[in-house]
Amino acid sequence: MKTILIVDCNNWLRESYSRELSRRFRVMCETTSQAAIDTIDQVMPSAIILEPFSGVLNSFGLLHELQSHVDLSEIPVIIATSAPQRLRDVAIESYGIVEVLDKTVLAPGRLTRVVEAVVL
Amino acid sequence: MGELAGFSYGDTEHQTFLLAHELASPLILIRQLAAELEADELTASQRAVIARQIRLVSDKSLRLSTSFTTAASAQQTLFPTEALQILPVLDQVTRDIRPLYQAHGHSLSRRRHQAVPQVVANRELLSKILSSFVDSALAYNDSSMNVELFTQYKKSTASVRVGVKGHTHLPVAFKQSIADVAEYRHSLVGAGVFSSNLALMIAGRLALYMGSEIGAVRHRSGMSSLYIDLPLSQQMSLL
Repeated sequence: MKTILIVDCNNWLRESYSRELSRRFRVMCETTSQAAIDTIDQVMPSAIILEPFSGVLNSFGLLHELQSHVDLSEIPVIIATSAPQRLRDVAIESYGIVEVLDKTVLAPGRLTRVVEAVVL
Repeated sequence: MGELAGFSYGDTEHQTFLLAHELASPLILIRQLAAELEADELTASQRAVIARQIRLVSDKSLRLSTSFTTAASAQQTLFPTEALQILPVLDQVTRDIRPLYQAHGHSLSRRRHQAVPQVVANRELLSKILSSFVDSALAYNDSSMNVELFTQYKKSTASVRVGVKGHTHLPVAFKQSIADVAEYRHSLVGAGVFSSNLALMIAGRLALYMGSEIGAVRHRSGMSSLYIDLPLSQQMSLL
């Protein structure tokens, strides 16, 4: 079973995404960039779902860290954010970002379908 | 404390922008949880947990929006101060927000005090300020924590405090909220799901309506606390 890592500082939203994805995938969750890196050192996820705009998360630090390792740079990153417009000027491909999802209009089941398309 | 003197805690337009941003996150969560309930793929216990989460996050958002409305529309004369028993206010705030803390695996309590002097304050404003402190403490902490409401006394002042035991970003957030106002900029870059500094800005403005100031401090014990200083009443308590 493929492993998906969710990195988002909102506990209950993270749990909700986890409940949805766990029907098809093994799901791991982290709150901070450092914890995510520690987890990735233990288990290489097939994809990462990331909210980049979080107060204590340092998400772009995580993205830089991933890109600085040959093996980790291959992990596809799916952004799920409430502020996708803030990524307008970001070269998302260079961060390994394969999809940007807008949380404000995210339809039920859409997250699962996107993850399936990326990892299966 | 003195570092707050002279700040107006931002103008309404600026804070309206922050409020819109701040409320987007709980609305996203409520929308996601409601969609889960509609999908009907949950156990009865999961449904109960999610329904409770929707109510708690709604309550928290409403606390913020009503405090914002009060801060934006109020005039100082609308909130006269009076001699006030502080413990019932602390108890009410603790009782109102404790379920949210418990749902997140944290604890919220009120320290036992004896023979507490009366303070001069407006009950409604004080309640909103302390609620903002307690809600903010939840936003700036990333591990299990104990939060305690308590008072400390100086010569003629009571310092009403919300103390966080354990690691917290609260003092940093407080300083950021002052900087945001002083430099008239918003803090959306790097802001988290519940973590703009708006609640602290609102608390600061409400405190000014009472002629008080708020602050944050990190204690040697490792505890951090947000506080509001209030004058002690010269009236004799009849209780």
